[in-house]
Amino acid sequence: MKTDELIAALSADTRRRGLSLSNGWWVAVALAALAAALAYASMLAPRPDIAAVAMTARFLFKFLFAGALAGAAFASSVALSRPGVGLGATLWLLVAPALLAVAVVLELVSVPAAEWGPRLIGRNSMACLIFIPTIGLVPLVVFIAALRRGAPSHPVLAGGLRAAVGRCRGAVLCHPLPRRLTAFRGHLVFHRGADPHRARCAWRPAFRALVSRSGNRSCAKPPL
Amino acid sequence: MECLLGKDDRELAALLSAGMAGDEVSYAVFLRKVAPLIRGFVRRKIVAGGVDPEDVVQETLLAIHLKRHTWRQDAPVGPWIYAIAGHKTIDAFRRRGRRIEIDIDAFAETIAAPEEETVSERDLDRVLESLAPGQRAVVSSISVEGRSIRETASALNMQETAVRVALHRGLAAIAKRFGRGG
Repeated sequence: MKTDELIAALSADTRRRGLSLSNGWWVAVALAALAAALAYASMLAPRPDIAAVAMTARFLFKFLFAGALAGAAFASSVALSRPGVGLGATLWLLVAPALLAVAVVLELVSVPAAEWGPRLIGRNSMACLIFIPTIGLVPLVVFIAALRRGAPSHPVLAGGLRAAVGRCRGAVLCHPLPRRLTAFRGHLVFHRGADPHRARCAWRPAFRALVSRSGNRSCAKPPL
Repeated sequence: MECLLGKDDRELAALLSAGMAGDEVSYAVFLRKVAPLIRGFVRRKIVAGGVDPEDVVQETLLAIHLKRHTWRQDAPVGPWIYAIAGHKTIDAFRRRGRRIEIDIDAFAETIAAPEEETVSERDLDRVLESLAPGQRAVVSSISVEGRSIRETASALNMQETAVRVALHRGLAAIAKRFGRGG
């Protein structure tokens, strides 16, 4: 079949289908939030002392931090799902680590030095490393599916950002402030790249893309 | 945002918008204008043998067609087209077991002269053979034989709606099986 003949067939096919890209993103957000909430409700429960801590600064900061990371990661990956868009939106990703750095300094000031070590590791770090990725698993799949509908020119970076959004939902539900350092390292280990339109760069750690910006190149054929 | 094709981009975007609103003629003009641009892009990327650029052009056109609802109508259309063409080129090489590094950011060098098609046996024909007989008859009638939807309906003794459904499903199936040899 010649290309002109193909074009004749394509232009005769006027059936519309599917969601627009931006509507697709909002559907993905709703599905991911629902999945994360269900996963949380089925495995964990709110801490028993929630009434007592609900308005404390440390508790509220969790939501601030995770919200900042999730919002920035979402905005960046929406931008990255379209080709030819600059990386300016990704600068918002610096807000969350900056907040964390300030919080760590405040903790160091307010907590006696002898407590630093135990607080850094925390009591729930193993549980967090298990539950955060588990809660984020379905949101990650949902967001990669949404991303596959786009045409990013930085596929690996875009995939890693999706993972960050998914993980933030889990992160907000777990563990007090200093332990977040451990959990955040866990995020980076778990993040992988994904790219749409079947040009899959399977399982390249997104962290490498973030530091090397190699995400704008295709990668080698994945091992079978 | 950078506008790769300048005035051409606005013209193509307007044609595609009209096409998405149901204007078949504008949509056909859009595809005819885009095909040589993709061909120029793909030929520039494929310097080694083993991959027929025209197969990639056709696969890219199919992807553009089936994914056109994901193009944002307020955004330039050039970057979107070249991103899809870049991914499809990578796919084609990957299927043939080659390593390839394509910087799909490097749009600047791709604004090349449009190129004409060369004729050889197409992957598309092999995929077409694998379609269900009803879909194959409809797709060939409209593409190879150049009939309209209505003429196809009367020639194949089908409802027009059924022809439209068969065409749409046939094209989607072709895009899905492309490059797997059917």
